[in-house]
Amino acid sequence: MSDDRAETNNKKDDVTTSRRDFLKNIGIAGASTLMAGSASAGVPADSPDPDAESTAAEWLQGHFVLMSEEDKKEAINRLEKRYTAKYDKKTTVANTPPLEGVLFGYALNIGKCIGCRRCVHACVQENNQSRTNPVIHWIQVMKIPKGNFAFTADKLNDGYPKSSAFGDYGVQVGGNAYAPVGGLATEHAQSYYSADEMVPDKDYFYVPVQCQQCEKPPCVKACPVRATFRDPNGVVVIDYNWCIGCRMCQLACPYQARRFNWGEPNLPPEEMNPKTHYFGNRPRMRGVMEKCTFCVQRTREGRNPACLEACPVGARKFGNLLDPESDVRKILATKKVFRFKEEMSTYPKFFYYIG
Amino acid sequence: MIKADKSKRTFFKKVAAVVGFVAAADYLGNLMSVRGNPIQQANDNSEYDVNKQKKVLLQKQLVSMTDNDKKQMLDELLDIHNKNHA
Repeated sequence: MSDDRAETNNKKDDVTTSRRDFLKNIGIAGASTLMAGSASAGVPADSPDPDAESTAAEWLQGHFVLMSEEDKKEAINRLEKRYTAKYDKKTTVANTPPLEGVLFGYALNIGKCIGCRRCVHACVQENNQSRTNPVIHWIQVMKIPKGNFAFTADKLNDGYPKSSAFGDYGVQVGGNAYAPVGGLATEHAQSYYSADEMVPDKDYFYVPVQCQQCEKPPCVKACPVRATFRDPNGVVVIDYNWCIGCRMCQLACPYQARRFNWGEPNLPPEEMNPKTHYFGNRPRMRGVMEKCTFCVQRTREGRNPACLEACPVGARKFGNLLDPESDVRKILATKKVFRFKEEMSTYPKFFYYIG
Repeated sequence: MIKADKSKRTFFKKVAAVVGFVAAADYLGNLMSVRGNPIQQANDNSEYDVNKQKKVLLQKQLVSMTDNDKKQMLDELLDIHNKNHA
């Protein structure tokens, strides 16, 4: 047997081919054909794929942040060409850079929110989310009984150890440990009150929940390929082309605010928003993660997020946390502010307030 | 000539085999129909994700921030931001 192998190796220089080599070549050729076929099949067969080559190139492109300017331009041109053909309307994919000296924060007045879900629908329209099969919403509105709310202003700055009736032999009772100064428990909350329900119900608070844009985001730590990262403005974004769809980030998110595209997103061409950003609202594909980006396509141009503009009662405020004169900073300074309990010290930049 | 075994034990054995076969076929059928309907599967998975978020959020609590909390948080946020941009 070993002699046979040696003989075959010796014959490599000759033109003669063994049956084994022949079958090997056939195998390589077959595998290459299959790979090329699958690479050009990124777009469903029934869609008017303008350029299979560009799709294959998209599959092979690197992380957008690490690309040269020329490669970025090429990548964006490819996407614009494909989206324009697929949705039959001129589509732009911006690569507007982050703003200088800005750290975005968001504040939502739960005393004002009426639970109308206009923010949810504005978000869906602005960010090209899948409309049906499956439905994807980046904002969920919770309806929490007002009875769950407890607040005692006089104890707000308590929390220092008090003398215990048992003596202070190493046992100290924190002022807030047994009598919390205030909070809103989510038990008995509903997040699926029906769409035709009359709102607001006077016995409930409405609490919209979306990505909390953590300053120390666990999702970013969990991503094995750094497809999701925190941008200089403090917004966590995703390179959809670099995402491998492992869903580790979804598991890591303490608010479960990320959505995975289990199927090909269903976005009717007539409803598609053609003004997109590479890291924001450009149409996603099957097998990638998506989430709220504070409307990066708008905020990097100095505009407000779509949910804020849609809110009919002005419950949403957005601004620069580095600027003491911004709405968010003023709210932090003067209002009763709540945030989700920081079990993991994630430092969310999304706050809830009353007043 | 071999006589057919008509004992009670053989009868139950056959019944068990038939029940097992039917159950396996039903399971495979279900598996195939789910796999054959990717839209349904995608919808089910997405719904599962949303329900999971609901479960997680129902265990959360919005806590009020004291002035100290606010200051500490703001200092921390600005500190992290400044370190990142140093």
